[in-house]
Amino acid sequence: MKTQIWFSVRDVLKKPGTFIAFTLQLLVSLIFISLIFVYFTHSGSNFREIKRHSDLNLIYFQEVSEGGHQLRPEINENLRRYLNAREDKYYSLVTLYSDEFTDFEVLVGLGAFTKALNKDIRLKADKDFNVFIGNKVKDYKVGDSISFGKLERKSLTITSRLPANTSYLFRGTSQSLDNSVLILSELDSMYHYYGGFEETNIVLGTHLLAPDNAVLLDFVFIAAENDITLNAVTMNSYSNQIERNHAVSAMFFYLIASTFTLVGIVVNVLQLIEINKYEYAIHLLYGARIQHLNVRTAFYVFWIVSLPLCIFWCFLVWIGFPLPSPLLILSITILTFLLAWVPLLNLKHRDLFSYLRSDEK
Amino acid sequence: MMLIKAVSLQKEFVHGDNRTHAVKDGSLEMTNGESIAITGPSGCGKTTLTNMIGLILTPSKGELYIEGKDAKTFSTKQTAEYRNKFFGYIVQDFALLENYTVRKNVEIPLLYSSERLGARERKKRVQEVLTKVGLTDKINVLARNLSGGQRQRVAIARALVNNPQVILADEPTGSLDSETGQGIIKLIMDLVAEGKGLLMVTHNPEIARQCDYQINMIDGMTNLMYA
Repeated sequence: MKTQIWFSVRDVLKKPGTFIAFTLQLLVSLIFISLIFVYFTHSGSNFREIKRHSDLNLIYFQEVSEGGHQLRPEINENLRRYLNAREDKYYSLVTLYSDEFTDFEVLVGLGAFTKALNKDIRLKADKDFNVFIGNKVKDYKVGDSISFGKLERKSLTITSRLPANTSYLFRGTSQSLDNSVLILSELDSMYHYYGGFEETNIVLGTHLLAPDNAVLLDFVFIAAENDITLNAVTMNSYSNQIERNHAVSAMFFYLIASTFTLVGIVVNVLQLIEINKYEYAIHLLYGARIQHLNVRTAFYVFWIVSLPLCIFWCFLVWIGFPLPSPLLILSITILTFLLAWVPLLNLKHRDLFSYLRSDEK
Repeated sequence: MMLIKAVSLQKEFVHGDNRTHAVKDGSLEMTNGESIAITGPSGCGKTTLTNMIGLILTPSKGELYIEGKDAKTFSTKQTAEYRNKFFGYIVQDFALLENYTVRKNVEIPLLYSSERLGARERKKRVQEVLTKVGLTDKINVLARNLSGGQRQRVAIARALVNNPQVILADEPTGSLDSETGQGIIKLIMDLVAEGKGLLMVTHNPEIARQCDYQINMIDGMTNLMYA
């Protein structure tokens, strides 16, 4: 066994370039796996959130026309009137950009934004603004102030910290608030402190709660008056369909990438057997058994597999997502057997002694 | 003691619809210290017969006894052990691993020995056998840097390193000039004089005459020519 392990190391050292190439290839494949894992985790939470909000019958909008609009003042007024009349029947979201907030996002939730959240939060009814900090925001604490406003400055006091993993449903996806500051406000307050600078985003971010056709058409017409052509999207049906399509695409690309890598490794090991066949025959002639060659080949695969998996495992530990080491050992073992299977079958069915004939060298 | 007894060995190779009867009737017996030369024209089945006797090929029919034991009953492990310990193979064209040193080439049978020898013991045995073939000074030289005669000596050293009872030599002088070839034959015959059995395939009648028995193979069948 020890001798065969040493021979497998020699095999690796025979072609170090190939070894490095496969290590990198496998690493890339593992990164793909983790991205897809993250995607599916995210996807799963999206599904859950959409399901949780399904009774709201949310409608959101996609812009068909080209972007870059400035809403005309009269349309602006129509929009304000429309949304203010339905404060409990819509929500929208605006992101505030400021040099002051560089380490986290500041989001302003409008209308019935609390309905977009996955957790219940308590609002202070006597306040125009309710300010929450995400669970992972370290720079601020409850009671601190943040400045707000462009036309007029106002200091807002943070009222409370959001529970961990608080998220909101926006345009069919669930977004985390852990690293954000959320300000719940009214549309009129935004206009008062910032003027009419984010109307387009407000329009595009608007989610109507169970609107009837007339209400829906009114909103689309208001946007159309300003050359914004909108498609209404029923979140319950469309998001599910998009998620499914994305999942299929992700799986497809992952399968292609990983198949390419795994087939590459198998071919490499088959090439190794082809290169070593004469040496194998000599070893068999002087007392080796096919099991010895199997061990040598399996260990060659083991080296190819274990280095990238160990690097990947260390990487996961480093980014704070440690996996138990038995899982690492199990993964290496399974992958080794999986990849060595075809080469070992090939080895078993070869008449290695025939390569001792001088014309077969 | 009877080392080898082959009774009507046959070997048929099948490639698709083609069947080739390489050996139709191969029979011989060998006891301690006997040397047998197998001669015959190319393609008559000499190497195939030797390979069957050396447990490299499985006979299609016939009986083969090694030290009185039926070779058909050998497990894979036993077969490997016989190849490792009982037979010492000297293959056509030396069969050396070019990128291995002389020591690494000669050491191969020791790696699979049931004695489980440590590195130091293996080195000692390699040195001993290289002394026997006169190559101690080449122990760390790569095989590819050796001359034809030296390569054949390395092949002989490798065949002898596990102290086998039977040497199977397939055209041991085929790739050498006559002077070097004679030196190699002398070396092999000295081993027979020490009590080892020798089964040698050769085209050379001069070399064949130096053996105790000569078997001539014609069309896959063995005929004892003289004793």
